[in-house]
Amino acid sequence: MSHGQPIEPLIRAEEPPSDAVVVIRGGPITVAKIVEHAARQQAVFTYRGEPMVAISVDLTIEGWSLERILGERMWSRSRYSITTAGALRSAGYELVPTSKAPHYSVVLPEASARSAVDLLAHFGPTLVNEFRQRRR
Amino acid sequence: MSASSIEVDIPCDPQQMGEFAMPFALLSEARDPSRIAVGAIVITADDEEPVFARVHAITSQGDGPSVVHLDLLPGDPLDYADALRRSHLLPA
Repeated sequence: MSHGQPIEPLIRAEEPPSDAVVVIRGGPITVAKIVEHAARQQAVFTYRGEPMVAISVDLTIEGWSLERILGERMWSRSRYSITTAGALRSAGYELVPTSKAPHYSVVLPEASARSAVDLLAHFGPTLVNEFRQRRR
Repeated sequence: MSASSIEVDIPCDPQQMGEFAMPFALLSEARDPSRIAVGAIVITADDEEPVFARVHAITSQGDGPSVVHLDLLPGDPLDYADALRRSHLLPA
């Protein structure tokens, strides 16, 4: 049994997203940031009794359009990248609805560059967030 | 102001949500942990796109790490700096 805070109480009870649902990851879209953020999640949370290696994404579930997510959730991010729930699931990733909608956690095998590269291979090109609240 | 010269007080992923439905950070990752207290205004996120935040809470479970929960403040930090200069709270 690992030490850490179980994520289970923070998991929302909702139907799995359909394959077409868009998955958004805010920038910087880099291997280093994926590893850093996954390691932080791992340090704090457990999932099924084991350290939870995961990164955060937002999904275009009910009430959350891409534009709303970019403006309300990603306002501090100049760039983002997208994929679909179906693409991630087909590749074997688990999407866990954690904390508050539209937030999900993508579970990774480990907080490593290899895992980050593998995950990012399923995302499209880096895009500019036209809804950002930044000067640059 | 280049990204390489920016030093955030405490790094976080602004997209990540924890138990308070807000981003969180590890106190051990703070540049100066003594500055991190509930209510403190800090610069967080990353050196490419820093943001202001107010420290909402600091928690820990058992022998786990101290977790800093961050309430992000809207807007670009440079907008705050402009407002401070306009009001002469900071020299122009």
